[in-house]
Formats: sequence, structure tokens, C-alpha cells
Amino acid sequence: MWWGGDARHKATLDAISLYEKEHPNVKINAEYGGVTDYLQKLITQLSSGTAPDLIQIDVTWLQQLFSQGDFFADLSKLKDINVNAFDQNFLKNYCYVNNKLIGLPTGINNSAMYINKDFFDKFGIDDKTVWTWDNLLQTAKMVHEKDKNAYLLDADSTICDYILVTYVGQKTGNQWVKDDYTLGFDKQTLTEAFKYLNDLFEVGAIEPFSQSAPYEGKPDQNPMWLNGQTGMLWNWSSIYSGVKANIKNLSLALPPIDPNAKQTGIVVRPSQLIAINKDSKNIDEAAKFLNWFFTDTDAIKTLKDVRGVPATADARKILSENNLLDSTLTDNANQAMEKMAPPENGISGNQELEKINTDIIQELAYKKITPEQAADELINTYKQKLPELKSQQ
Amino acid sequence: MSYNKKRNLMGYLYISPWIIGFLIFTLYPFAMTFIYSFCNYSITKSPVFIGLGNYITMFTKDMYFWPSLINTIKYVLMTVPLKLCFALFVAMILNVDIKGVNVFRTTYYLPSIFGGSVALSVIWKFLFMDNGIMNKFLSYFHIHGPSWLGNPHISLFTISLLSVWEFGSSMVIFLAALKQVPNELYEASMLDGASKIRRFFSITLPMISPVLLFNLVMQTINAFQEFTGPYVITGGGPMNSTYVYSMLIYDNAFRYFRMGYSSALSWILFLLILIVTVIIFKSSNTWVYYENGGR
Repeated sequence: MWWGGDARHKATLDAISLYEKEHPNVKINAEYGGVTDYLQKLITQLSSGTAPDLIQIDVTWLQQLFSQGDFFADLSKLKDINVNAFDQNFLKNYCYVNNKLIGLPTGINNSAMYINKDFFDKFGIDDKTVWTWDNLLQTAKMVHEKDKNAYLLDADSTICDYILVTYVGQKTGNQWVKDDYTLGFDKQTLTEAFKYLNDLFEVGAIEPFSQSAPYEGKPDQNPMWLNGQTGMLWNWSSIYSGVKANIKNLSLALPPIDPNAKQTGIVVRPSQLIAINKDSKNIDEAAKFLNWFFTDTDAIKTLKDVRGVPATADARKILSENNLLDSTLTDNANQAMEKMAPPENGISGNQELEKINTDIIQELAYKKITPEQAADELINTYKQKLPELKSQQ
Repeated sequence: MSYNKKRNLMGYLYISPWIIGFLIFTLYPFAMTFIYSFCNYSITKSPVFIGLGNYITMFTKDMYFWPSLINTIKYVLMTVPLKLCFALFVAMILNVDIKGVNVFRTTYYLPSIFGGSVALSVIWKFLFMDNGIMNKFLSYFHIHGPSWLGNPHISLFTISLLSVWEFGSSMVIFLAALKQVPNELYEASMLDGASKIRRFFSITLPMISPVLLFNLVMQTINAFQEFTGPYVITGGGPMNSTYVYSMLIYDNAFRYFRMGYSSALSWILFLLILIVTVIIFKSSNTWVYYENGGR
């Protein structure tokens, strides 16, 4: 069972029928759809014992899934799976929970800046610019001064949250929330970050929220971005093919990094994991298929980059030899891997905390509060919420 | 088996699909949410009894509880009167004997057929975007339309309008009631020289007041439970201005998987609706007129 768009569905179905042709004794039923409500459906299936054998999951769900129970087989114990095909550090950082290998990474997903090159040419910006917080603000100011209807950044409150968390992380070098559920930052740093965010709003780097509100949660569908009135979108590299379909002249860069950053805040993580249901009746067959899915040359050629740049070096080699990989995407992935930050812990990515952040960012954007008040409000709310979340563990 | 018994049994058999559905999909969940509301329950693990814990958290700790409740009450106060006035107004216009009036009646009823559907909410979103049809239309009159969905002061009203637009079912009921008002009352009052307005307030309104009560209760209950509009159109934003109570229930149940807490929230909504309905019924003694004296 997986989620995705049309390209991914088709490639995966093709791979499945290819496998069925090679293994006439195996019949695979595919279950697929969009990502909306996928997790809800999965948890319902897991709790009622009707979940499929092979399950695509997202690394950010692991904490939530494991607080519900232990559902997945330890893949390192299955002899049919060749774990050595993967980068061991990558596996260690993201795919192990309680010393069990929960799933195998389908691809590499990193935080990236999507760049509309036509927009950059129009304003005379070099798309190879290495971004820092300062030159981002200066460039944004210049853009909005030249054209009042243009904004450098396409951002909703979620993307402003990326900016906030990354900015703070680079100053402190800590996790946003530490493993013991205490704050990874002090008030001064947070105020500074909110001030920076406020500056971005003030100089017209970001389209006013009152205008972009209907696209809250889907900035890549904002007509301002599609029509080339905004030039940069901070997002995950895994949505590359979808963005490319709309913006023909597309380039990628890394998110801004402070020259004195203690850590870059650049996230490199698996696009998704594929796990095996612990209660499956066909664990061995599922393992064989999974191994084929990741290592067989024909499978790799069929699946291409529908789940991002593949996570195994072999697969990357096969694809680039056959010209099946977009070089913009692979270059960006390589840059990101060079600069990657330590993996984010579970609590820092908590959905309820994210809602608190985006609520406060909206208040700031609508000028209801000052950056100082925003910092106060966030810290006070966290001080109440974190013990609550900790007690629910 | 006697004839009567047989006939009763047949009756039950005929309505059995509804009874079975009611027992399984309404009564059972209803009872279970009551039990779960006293538990800490996250789907996959078995529920743990925590007494009134959920209810205490709700009133003391949950920072979204009061704001979402206030949003919901605002929404009800905006939607229900507006919708009833509009429905009654249209019903009165359509209560005339001209050729082809049925075509108009059908046309005005159409929006209600779509119900609280997702597709309609999506259309609403497109209508009221900054560069949407609504603002284009206003710009022909040199009015600079507001940011219907982006302005936190207006967004809830925009969603309320969607519900008002679906006035058809109330309208049909009003229309039926209007047809029942005896014509001789109007004729007599006209002989006495009563104005149109006087006739509306002294004859029409009292005569249809039982139906007004019915519509008021039904629409109030519906409005308290509104979910699709805010969920699809604004996702609760901007600045949580459209974050209504049912969204809080949804988020706790399906985003944070706190089924117990979510059940408790649902029960508070149920009690709130119950109280409001009782108040409306109590007050109805003073303003609802029954021709047969209410018997």
C-alpha cells in the first residue's frame, strides 16, 4: 500500500506486474491513493488487523506510530533482504527504532529551494547564488521595490515555520525541542528569529497572508507561484516532478545558511520507508519482493525517480547511466548530503507543536503581535504543552 | 399468529433496515463515545479509565476549546437567522399563482440538493478568492471587494454564506406552511384596511410560527455541527478565525489520535445543543401559535 501521484502509481503498478511475470506463483494486490488521510486509514487498518503486507510510511510518522504499538517486522533479521545495498549511516539515522530496522528508504528527500529561473532572470538574480539569511532579505527587498506585485518567496505559515525553526537551529546547534522535552533555544534567539521573519513580511519578501490564505498548506498551487510572480519556494525535493510539471524553467538551491551556523538545519531524510507488517502471513514473500524492488536492475529502471533520488548507490548509478535521472535533482541531493544536519528528533516534528508555531506566525503576519510578544507566547505555550506531551508518551 | 401480530411484524420487517442501521451506526457509537469520554484512548491501545480527566483538561488546559466554541456560537448566530429570513423571503415570493412558478421553486431548491458537499465547498473557495468571481463581479460596480477568505473578520461570514445559500429545504417547508394559511383571514383583514406589513406580522407570521419553530430547531442543530465548510474552504484559518468546534473534535480524533478526549468534546457539544434546543422549546410557548391550542 502506498500514496502518491499518477506517475508513481503507474511506475509502481508496472513494477508489480513485472515481478508477477517473473514469479508466476506470486499475486500482489495493490492499494494506493493520495496522501490525504492515508495515516488515519493506516492506523485504523493496523488496529483492526487488516493492514497490507507491505506498507509505505513516512519517517515523520514513526514517533506517532510507535506510540500506538509495535506493528512492523525487523527487516535486518530477514535473510532475503540485502541491507548492505543502502548507506548504513542513513539507515541508522532514520530507519531504526528501538534497534529494529523498521523500513527501507525509497529515496532521498532533502529540504531545497525551488527557483523559477525566468523570475530570477527578470530581476537579474543569479540562480547559483549561495543563500544566507542576509542576502535573502536584501534580494527580497530589491525585488519588491522593483515590482510591487512581485515577491521573492512563496510561503505560507508552514514554510515560515521552516524558516523559523531552521534559523533558530543554526544559531543554537540544538534540536528545536531536546530529547528530554525541554526547549532547545532561549528567548533571545527566538525573538531574533521572529524579528527576521517580521523583516521578511515588512520588506515584501512574502505575499501577505490575507492574499495567499486560500492556498494555506499548498503553496505550490498558489497562482502567484504558477504565474511567475513569486520566485522561490522552500519545500521538499520529493515533490520535484510535480513542481517541474508547472514551472518549466526550474532550478534548485539549498536553503539559506548562516556563515557562522552551528548546524545547517538542512534535512536529508528518506522520502518514505517501506515496511513489512509484523502480522503478515507472507513475510518471506514480502521480503523477497522488497529486495527485488530495491535491487533488481529492471525494477530500478521501471521505478526511476518516482520516489525521489533512489537511496542506494547502485540504483543511482544505473539510472544515471541510462539518463533516467534529472541532473538538477541529483546535484541538489549531493549538495544537501554534504551539508546535512543531524536528524531531527521525533518531538521537534510534533504536529501539535507545529500548529502552535503556525498559529503564532499568522498572528505575527497579521500584525496582531510584535516579534517579542510572539517569542513570549511561543515559549509560554510550549511550557504548558511539552509536559502534557511527555506524560502521554 | 394472529392477524394483528403478523401485521405488526411485517411493519417492523419493513423498517428493519433503518432500525439495524440506527442501532449499529448511531446508538452504538453514541453509547460508546460516552464510555470513551471517561478514558484515555488512542485507537490501537485499549482504553484506560481516567474519570473526569478529559472534561477537566478541556475546561482548564485546552487553549483551543474556548476559541473554537466561541467561533461556533458566532457561526450559529450568523447563519441561522440569516438563513431563515432568506428562506421565508423566497418562499413568500414563490407563493404566487403564476404560470411556471414550479420551475422557479425547483431552481431555488437546487443548491440544497448538493447538501454540505465537498465539491460545493471547493466551488465556494474559488468564488470568494481574492481574484475570484465575486470580487470580479464587485469590481464592475467599482467596489474593491474584501479579502473574503483571508481577512479574519470576514472569513467566518463567508462560510456562513455558503450555508445560507442552501436555504432550499427550509424554504419548501415554509412554502407548504404559507399555503395552509386560510385566505379568508387575509380577505377579512383587507376589508378592515390592514396594510401588507400588518398582514404579514399579524396573520402570516403567527399562522406559520409552528413551522418557524421547526426550522429554527433543525437549522440550529445543523449549524452547531458545521464541519465541511470550514474544513475544506479555510482549514480553520486565517488565525483560527474559522476553527469551529467540530474541527477541534476532528483534529483531536484523527490528527492527534486522542479518541477519548475527542469523545468528551463531542458530548459537550451534544449537551450544548440539547440545552439550546430546550431553551428554544420553552420560549416557544410565548411566540408559537397553534390553531387547535397546541393539542
